[in-house]
Amino acid sequence: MHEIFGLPMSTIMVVLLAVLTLFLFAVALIAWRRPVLFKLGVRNIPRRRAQSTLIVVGLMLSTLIISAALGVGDTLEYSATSDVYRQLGHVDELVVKSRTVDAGVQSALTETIDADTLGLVESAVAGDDSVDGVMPLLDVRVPVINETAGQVEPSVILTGIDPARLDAFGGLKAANGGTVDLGAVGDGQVVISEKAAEALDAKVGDALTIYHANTPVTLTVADIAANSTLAGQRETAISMVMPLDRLQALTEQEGTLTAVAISNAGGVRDSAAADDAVVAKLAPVLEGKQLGVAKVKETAVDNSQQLASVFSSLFLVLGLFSVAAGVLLIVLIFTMLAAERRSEMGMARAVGTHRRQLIQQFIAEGSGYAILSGFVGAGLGVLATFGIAAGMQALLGEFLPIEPHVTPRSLVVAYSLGMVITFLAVVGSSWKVSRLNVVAAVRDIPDVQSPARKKSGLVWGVLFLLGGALLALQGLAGDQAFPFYAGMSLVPFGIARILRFFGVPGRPVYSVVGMAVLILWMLPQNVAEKLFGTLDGDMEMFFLSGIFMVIGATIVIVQNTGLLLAGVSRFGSLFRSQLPAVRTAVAYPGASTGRTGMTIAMFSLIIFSLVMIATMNHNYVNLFLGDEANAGWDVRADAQSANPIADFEGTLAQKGVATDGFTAVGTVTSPSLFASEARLADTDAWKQTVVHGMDAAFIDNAELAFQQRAEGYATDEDIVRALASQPNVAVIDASALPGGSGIGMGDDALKLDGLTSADETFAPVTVELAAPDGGTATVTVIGIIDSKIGSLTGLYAAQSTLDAVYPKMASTSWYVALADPAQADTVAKEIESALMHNGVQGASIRDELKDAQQQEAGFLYLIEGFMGLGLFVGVAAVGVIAFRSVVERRQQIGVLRALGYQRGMVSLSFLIETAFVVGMGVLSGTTLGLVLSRNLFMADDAASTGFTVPWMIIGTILVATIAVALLMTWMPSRQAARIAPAEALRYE
Amino acid sequence: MLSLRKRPEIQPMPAGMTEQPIIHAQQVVKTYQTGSSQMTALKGVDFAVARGEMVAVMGPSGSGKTTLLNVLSGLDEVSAGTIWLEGQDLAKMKDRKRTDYRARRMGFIFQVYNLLPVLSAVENVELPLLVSGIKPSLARAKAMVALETVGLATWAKHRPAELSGGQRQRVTIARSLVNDPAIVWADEPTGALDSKTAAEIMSLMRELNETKGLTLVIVTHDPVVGAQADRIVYVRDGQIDTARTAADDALAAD
Repeated sequence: MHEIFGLPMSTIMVVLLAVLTLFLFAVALIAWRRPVLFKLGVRNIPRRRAQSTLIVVGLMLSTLIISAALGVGDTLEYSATSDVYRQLGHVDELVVKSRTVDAGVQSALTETIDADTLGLVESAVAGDDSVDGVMPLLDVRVPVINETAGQVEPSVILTGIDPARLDAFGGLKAANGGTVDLGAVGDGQVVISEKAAEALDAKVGDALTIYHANTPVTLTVADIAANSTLAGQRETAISMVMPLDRLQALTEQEGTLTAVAISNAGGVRDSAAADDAVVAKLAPVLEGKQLGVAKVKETAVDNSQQLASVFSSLFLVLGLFSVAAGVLLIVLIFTMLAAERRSEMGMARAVGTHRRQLIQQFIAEGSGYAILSGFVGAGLGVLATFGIAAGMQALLGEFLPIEPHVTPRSLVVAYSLGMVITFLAVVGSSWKVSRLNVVAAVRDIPDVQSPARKKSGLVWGVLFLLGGALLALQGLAGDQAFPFYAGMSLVPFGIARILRFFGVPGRPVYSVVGMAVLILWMLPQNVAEKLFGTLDGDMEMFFLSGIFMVIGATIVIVQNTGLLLAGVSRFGSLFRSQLPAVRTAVAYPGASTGRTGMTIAMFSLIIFSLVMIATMNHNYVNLFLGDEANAGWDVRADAQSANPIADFEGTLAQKGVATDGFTAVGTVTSPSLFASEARLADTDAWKQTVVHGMDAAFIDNAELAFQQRAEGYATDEDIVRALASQPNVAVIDASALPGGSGIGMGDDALKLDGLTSADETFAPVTVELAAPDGGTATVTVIGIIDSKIGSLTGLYAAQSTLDAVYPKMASTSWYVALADPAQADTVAKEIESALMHNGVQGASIRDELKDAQQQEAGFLYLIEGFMGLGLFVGVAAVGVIAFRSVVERRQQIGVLRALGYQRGMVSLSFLIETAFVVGMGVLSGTTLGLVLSRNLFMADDAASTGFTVPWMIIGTILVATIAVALLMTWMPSRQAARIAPAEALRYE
Repeated sequence: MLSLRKRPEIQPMPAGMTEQPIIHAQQVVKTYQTGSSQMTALKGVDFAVARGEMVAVMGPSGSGKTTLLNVLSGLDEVSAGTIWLEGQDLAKMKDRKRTDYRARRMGFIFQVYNLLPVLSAVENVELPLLVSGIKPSLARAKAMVALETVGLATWAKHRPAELSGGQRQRVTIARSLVNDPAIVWADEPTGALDSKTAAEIMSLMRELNETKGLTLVIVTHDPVVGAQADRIVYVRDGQIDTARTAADDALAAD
């Protein structure tokens, strides 16, 4: 992977290595200058192996998560770029029909061009060393039948290329690794791609029947080519190839091409660099001829790298929750280790050990854990990458073969970053634990706060207040959500520190702070917008919201543990025989609020992120699979224009398909993607959309609903009536709203700028459509199709309106409503079978939506799984705490046994304690996750279906979390219960 | 202040005992396995305590005093020999029954107090009652009475860290008494206290022994504490030192 968060990976690696070297140098210096301290620290590691193992497991999680996130990026980049190079081979640019010289890749190969273009291109690049080959291409979509194997493919790309020019493109690669001699392919023969061979179950010598202009033509398979652009492969299409002149003759398209492919000088992987020079050469000759150059290879490679960076960033941002939990675990571990050695440390300080030396001792120990855990984490991150890659292959393999790949650079970055995070946490924790009161530590009594520390509290308070206010103001000024909310969240902490300095009791102050932070983050979006205006935020807000909400909730819980524990204790008194176990179980978390708070926060963070993802996933799946999703239609039959059907229902009846179950049939036609370009009135750049023409039957019978209506259209019916009766009005799907996904890539998508998703009504929007003759036509958008109708995408107008703009439509879709929607799949298959000679593809609309959603949901499950890795942090934390608690309380366990606690009661006490702490974390994380996801979902205009909670998934996550946490406690609690009382009492 | 009392007897068995002893140990052996070697802490100890008696177990460090207390109270298993408490054979009790018996019939006072630091004084004191299944409200009332007995009613809500050493030991005594035990075991109860506080604590224990008829077995190396008992049993090298005389004791006390 080359970049992440916009920063080059090489730069990140160099910086991290420098910082890591600095840290390691500091550790080496301690070992050299203070060998005794160093040994004292390091020798603790092998002392308690089980505990050290748990610590390493906990600490490695940060490195594992970073390593896996970068590994996902590497894997996607490697897989996508390999696929690009494999498919495009020596093809670097395509000269295609375009309104500008710099042609978009999206609409390339969807329109025909004049064959003279080849001569234009050749003359422009003649004598140019940067180009070593030019190839004319013609694409035709046809249905193909393999009678021998009984296989049918309704839409196959049959491409024609010039065999004489193949050498400059490295030849046509054969599936078996050799080269196909296309020139030797005889009349009536065709070369099929590997994909086509597989789909049609065809082999060399098989006879295939294709249909063009409703006429069957039989072609014999001469050879099988590797899947490539020259063999006709366009993205995922199935393809065949034959000599260009023969295809032109066969389809009566002499003098016609779809594109001219250009091969730059150089190899497959390094030739795209010459793109700009080639475009510069061609620009003058293509200008004004509705021709342009699409930089297909460079764009595809850029897209692959962008895809990798986006996914890697997504995994990394989502993994931040686990990393944050990991940091908390480090602090917790060191706080516990310090608590264990408190009197020892107090004695050391008493006899002259400097605070700095205590820190050095802890750093020595911490670096031992960090170095070990870094290696384990990076290694396991590679394993996790392979696991995620396997999941991605199952989900995306059909479109992009996923090959797991991790670069050494990513491993170095993951290891260094994990180590740096661990070191920083270790140094911070060591500094904190070294600030002990010598007398209190020696006597093992609670620490006392010195006046000096109180003053530092005031300083921090002022810093938090001013810093927070400045950040918030900066955010407001720049309409940026991140600094605004971060600042607003810090302000209450500043006020609290100042109030504490003046002696205001901590509990009410911090309870109010926690509540204030929670209220700030839990404000419904419309309320927040009214109060603070519209602020821009992205993925990072998810992490920030999680961190601050969890901090707020944890503070409220910890400050009021007494009340909560009294409730638990009261509940426990219902079971009198177990009351003593409950009493001691709730006393410990209440007594060590720091430890309790950190554990609660850890679980809360992880559960928050999991619940958020699961809930949003569930609600959006529900939304897009609701009853309205298919607009009242059950089956869609798509056909290209190669084999037109004049009368859909009549042809079906003729072929023996019973149409009496059809309650309505509507027709929608579309021009090619190239012809579908549009732009807002008074803007320059043409944008991508898909334009559809609806016939009267479609408009009458579709169950159309609109989430936003133009002024003058009070109801959905008004819009439908206008579509049916007025010329030049149109509706568009919600992805065209600013912030929506749009159709096409990034800035190329048509967006209704100026319209906000909060507007219920809007001023009608004028959109210009690009007519193929170079002119423009105008339509007025009067409604935004409700996002619940997931089956309709693009811009829709009456057929009569579009007929005046586009003389030729590229595709036709027939929408069928059935009396029995359950028959959709059967009817779709019947239609496809009956109209296979026309290349018709039938689909159950609901099944299609389900498949799409399943893929999306599958991907989100993959992310949930990745985020679930954070649970290991929590579980490791519970294990460490439980093991340490047994050691710490050994003598107290002896007392309890002496006082009459049965063994089971000792065990139960530990289990209740864990259940309380983990339960509070889980409850807090679940509540916060549900509230935030509800706010976000309901703020989406599409969310008119109402918010639902995926209790089954959440329940499974929660039960599994608590069960594993209890299991981790059960082992040490059993150990505790088995301690002989006399032996425990002797322990010091 | 210590009250003037007659010098305690020095013998392993109560003199002229007619009724069944509340504690009766016969040929008790306790061996510890330390790595590959064995260490015998008690080597066939015979020992008995009459109901309502206050007995001090004395001896040098490592002589086996605490081990004897641990096996007699059922906190530890014996390797050989028999122990009867109130006529019941301790070895025949399963761990559950023995634990239950400890909760209902015994109280413990330790040198380092061994209060639970996370519970308040009253919560520490009421714990044995809750273990015995007493209703929480009744347990709280009894715990307050016990704290009042040791003069700490006003400190009931304080945690051990907020109390002085003497106060902590008083809480421990209140805890040991709260369930009206038959026997109270005390292991160096004044070991961590200054002489004035130690005297107050011993005076309190003596008073409770006399007013409530408590049986007290006190392990101590302090002759001043031993002097408060009805009887002193000397332990040396894991055996009852029968050769020890009152004269030795007086010498030690000096």
